[in-house]
Amino acid sequence: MLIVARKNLFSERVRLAISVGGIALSVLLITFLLALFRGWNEKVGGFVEEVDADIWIAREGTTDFLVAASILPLEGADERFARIDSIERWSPLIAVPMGATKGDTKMDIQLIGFDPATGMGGPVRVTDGKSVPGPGEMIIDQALTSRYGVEIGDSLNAAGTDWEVVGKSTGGDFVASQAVFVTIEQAQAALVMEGLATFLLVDLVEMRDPATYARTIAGNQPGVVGITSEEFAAATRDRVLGDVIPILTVILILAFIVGLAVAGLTIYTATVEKAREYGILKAVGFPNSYLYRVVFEQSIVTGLLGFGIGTGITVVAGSFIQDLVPQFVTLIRWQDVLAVAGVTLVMSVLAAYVPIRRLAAIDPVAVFKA
Amino acid sequence: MADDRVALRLRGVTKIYSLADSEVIALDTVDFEAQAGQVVVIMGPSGAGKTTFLTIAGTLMKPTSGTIEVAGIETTKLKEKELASIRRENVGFIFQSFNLLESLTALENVRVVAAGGITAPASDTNRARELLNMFGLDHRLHSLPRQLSGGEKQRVAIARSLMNNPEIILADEPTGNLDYKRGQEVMELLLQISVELRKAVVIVSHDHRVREVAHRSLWLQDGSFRDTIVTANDPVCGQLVEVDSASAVTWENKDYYFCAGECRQLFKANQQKYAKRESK
Ligand SMILES: Nc1ncnc2c1ncn2[C@@H]1O[C@H](COP(=O)(O)OP(=O)(O)OP(=O)(O)O)[C@@H](O)[C@H]1O
Ligand SMILES: [Mg+2]
Repeated sequence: MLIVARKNLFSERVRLAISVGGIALSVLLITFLLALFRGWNEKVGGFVEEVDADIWIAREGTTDFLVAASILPLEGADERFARIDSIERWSPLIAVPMGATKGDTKMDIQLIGFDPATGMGGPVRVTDGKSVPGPGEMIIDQALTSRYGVEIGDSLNAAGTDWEVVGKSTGGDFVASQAVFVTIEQAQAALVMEGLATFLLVDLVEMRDPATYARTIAGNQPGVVGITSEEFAAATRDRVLGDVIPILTVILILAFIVGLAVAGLTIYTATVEKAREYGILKAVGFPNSYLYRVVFEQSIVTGLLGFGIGTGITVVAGSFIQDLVPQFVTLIRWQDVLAVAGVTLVMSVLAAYVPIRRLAAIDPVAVFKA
Repeated sequence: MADDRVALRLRGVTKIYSLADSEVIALDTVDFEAQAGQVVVIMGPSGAGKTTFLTIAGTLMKPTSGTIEVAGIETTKLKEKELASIRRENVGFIFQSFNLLESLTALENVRVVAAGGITAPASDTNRARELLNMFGLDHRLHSLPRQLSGGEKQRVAIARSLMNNPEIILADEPTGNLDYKRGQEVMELLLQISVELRKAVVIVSHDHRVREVAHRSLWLQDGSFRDTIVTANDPVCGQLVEVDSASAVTWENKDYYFCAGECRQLFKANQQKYAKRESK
């Protein structure tokens, strides 16, 4: 860094604090929103991706996992699937969003009935207790513990039945609701859905293209759709985040503008205040390019400091804020940090642009005036 | 003493400032030369074109017509970037208001014009320190300009002007913001620089005392140099005035000359006081 740039920047501590603070705030907001978005995205779509199925079969009109008004009869499914060579295995799954209570505590859950024989659609990672629930038993997502204090041994009422919590798992937190797992027979009994399922999960023999088979399977059966796992995860994400993304984008742009405005204004006033000194530099023989560099370096260093502080706070705060506010599911990806670094760089360059344009107009002859 | 080498040469330089509804001829076909080892003093009343002359000679402003040669380089057709490097290498400026960078220490102010980087080569630091030591500022190296007296600031500025070892030193009213004694010191320093370091020193001033150190002095008026003009100091305001054109008052067998009617009036009101001050 040029000595003039360094001295100009660090001799005015308050101004430096303001411009660094402005950028830090903006960076903080941007990384935090991105981390939040990533966190939600991961949670919401993560479960569908983790399920070991290539195709989800559902009633026509079903778009995603969380809101699925799908009812499929299981009768005859066995024979139908047995005729298709490319199907490795299949399994029925029940998934119904509903409310549950523990005493006076109400919570939103996704009641999932899975077939323990295949394990398809069951708990993603069991962290505590049993991995297969027996009759009258359920495995809950860990988020229910951190949010509502549900523990192993507790009794949870859902679908008119009292269930005993016997295990905990992760990977079933949809932010707005959490998965609880029971066997499919238990689910069918509780929901009065004997012989029915919400989805049929199909696992194909390796190297088959799921999209083609999804269409074939659906084509054979009127009123039924086949959706690839990938599409289904994306649709589930879109259900939760689709409305949030435009809002998020607007806030991100605002955060950028605020950071740019604060940094730009402070750098501009600093440049204007030092106009005479820039005139002196010109007079004693420094070319315009040198002056540009002086301002540019100040802007870049301000940006760097703001970026460091902003991301630093996000990382530190992100690690414990979820304990305070469970909805603050953050995920900081290095790609995003890199992108924000790029955004900060753009901010610094833009913040220096107007001041630099002004430098060119400074007349060194003015420094001869007393 | 002086070298034959011409460090600065102006030929037929005219500068016309164009204003909205009029034109000011600040310099009118001026010829000028300055040699290494010489102090040239240019005097003249306010508005005579002294600063205009100096900024044109220092390549900070282009003349309307005429040519300027700095250290043998003809500058009129050069681009701003090239002029900047000529200034940096060949011209040292000294200003009335010192013009130091406020957030840099004395040492940094001198050193910065050489490199400008954060890590100046040790040779730069040594040279800057030597210059400051030479001007009696060894104990002031790390002071900021606001911690220095006017005389000290001007000495730092002089050290800065010498940092890149230029051939030419251009000073605009270098004593203008200093009291009599500090002004005297600065003038002697400039003389020393020209003689010992073989610089061409051009000083522009309307303080007649600067003539004491001049090898050559010129009178600039209305944009051109006048020969052998008899000047005197206005006893009231101290300005240098041309005897021929100034209004005069004779008091106790001595003639006094005035820049304007106001000073003349003041003088008449208190002749004793002003006459005494003048003869001091
Ligand atoms: N930028 C400008 N635009 C228009 N006229 C100018 C400009 N600069 C100087 N002048 C005019 O040119 C003439 C010479 O000005 P200059 O500053 O060179 O005088 P000076 O001898 O340095 O005066 P002083 O002793 O007061 O510093 C003056 O009449 C002044 O009003
Ligand atoms: Mg002047």
